[in-house]
Amino acid sequence: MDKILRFIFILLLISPLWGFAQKKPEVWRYEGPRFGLDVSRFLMPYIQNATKGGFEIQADYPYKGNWFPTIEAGYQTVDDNKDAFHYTNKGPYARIGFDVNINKFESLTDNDLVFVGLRYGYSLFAQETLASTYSNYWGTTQNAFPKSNLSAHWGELVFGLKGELLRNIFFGWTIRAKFPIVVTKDPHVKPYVIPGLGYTSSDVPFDFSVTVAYRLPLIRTKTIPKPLKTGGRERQELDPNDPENNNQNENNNRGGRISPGSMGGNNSQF
Amino acid sequence: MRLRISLIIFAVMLLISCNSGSRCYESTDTLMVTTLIGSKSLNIGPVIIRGYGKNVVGDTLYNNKDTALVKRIALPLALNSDSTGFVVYFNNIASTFWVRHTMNIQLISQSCGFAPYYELNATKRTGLVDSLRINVPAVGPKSVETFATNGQNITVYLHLTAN
Repeated sequence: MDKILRFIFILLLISPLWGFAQKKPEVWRYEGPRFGLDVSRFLMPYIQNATKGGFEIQADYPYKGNWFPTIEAGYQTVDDNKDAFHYTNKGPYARIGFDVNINKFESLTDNDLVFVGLRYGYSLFAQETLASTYSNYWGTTQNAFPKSNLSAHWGELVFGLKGELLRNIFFGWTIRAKFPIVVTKDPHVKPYVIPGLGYTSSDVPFDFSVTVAYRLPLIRTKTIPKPLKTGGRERQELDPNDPENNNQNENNNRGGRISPGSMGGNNSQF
Repeated sequence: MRLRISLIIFAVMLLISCNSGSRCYESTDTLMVTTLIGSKSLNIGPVIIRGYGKNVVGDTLYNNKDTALVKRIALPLALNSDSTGFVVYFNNIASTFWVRHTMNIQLISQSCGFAPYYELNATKRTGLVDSLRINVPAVGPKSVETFATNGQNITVYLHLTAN
């Protein structure tokens, strides 16, 4: 009995120390390349009366926190079979550029982006008019125009949002203003849709994308990227009461490069 | 969280709003704008115009009984031939004029389809058609709109006599 009482006494004595000994889970900021798929390309045939098909993949990589060099590539097919004509168009395209985050990161786990960006786009595509019909007072003419290989260069202004819906899974959209630079001419058929550029019916075509992306968490850090100098604060200050920032003071500058799934790392700064 | 909700809402709105219409708002009727002018600044009386070789009822392209110094007409050109002929009936006499041209079918837009573009390069005449003058050789679906108030692709001078 005496032994039991002594045990309880010691237990009560050391119990307040448990709180200190029990470590809160560490919060890190993860960075890494992000690979995405433009899901709007798959949904489009069900929403529009379009005959477009294809896919687009995207990848970006963080540079100094707020800059995201980006590459996008895809393949598009158009098969437009109307009463008056039957037109096909297909080809690959690619865009290269960057996004700049204009959103302030609120915490280590905040990865949501509001961004603007620039792209340069290039497409190499083939078009063919299998049949066209035109009638007037004098009768009807039917024509077919053989396959011709064309190319297009253009620039894009991008605005978009990207949020981390689940850990490392991002969902976002962009609106894009496109500026055709050079489009190879065809004597009969000016391509009305160009892979990657979209419809050419206006001088500045607008397009959008809806992206689901996965980030490979290759890098972890305790540093929140500084917001861009747009009148904001010079250095990010963290709310000490925010549990997501609980290790900020003691662990700042302890970022490390890790392999996915691993929590260990060296002390190199991201 | 607010950003994430707005992400989804805007994405859905974008997808819904992109249902593009498929109406054609451009003209695909390629017509040669023609001006008839009488000689000696005389008024032109009733005029009927038909396509050459088109003599069936309903083939009349133009039937104007008014009297005017100038008459403006939009005439279609042949699709499967490199020349188009017209018969002009006035002063109870049938006269003809011919226009030689090249044609190139071009796509107007996805919703409008194709339309012919012509280049006029020569003319021929008989009867009371005094002379012809090609003013603007390019004839396209926008010619009628371009020359809505003045200007023309071709001018036809008619030989008129004072009664």
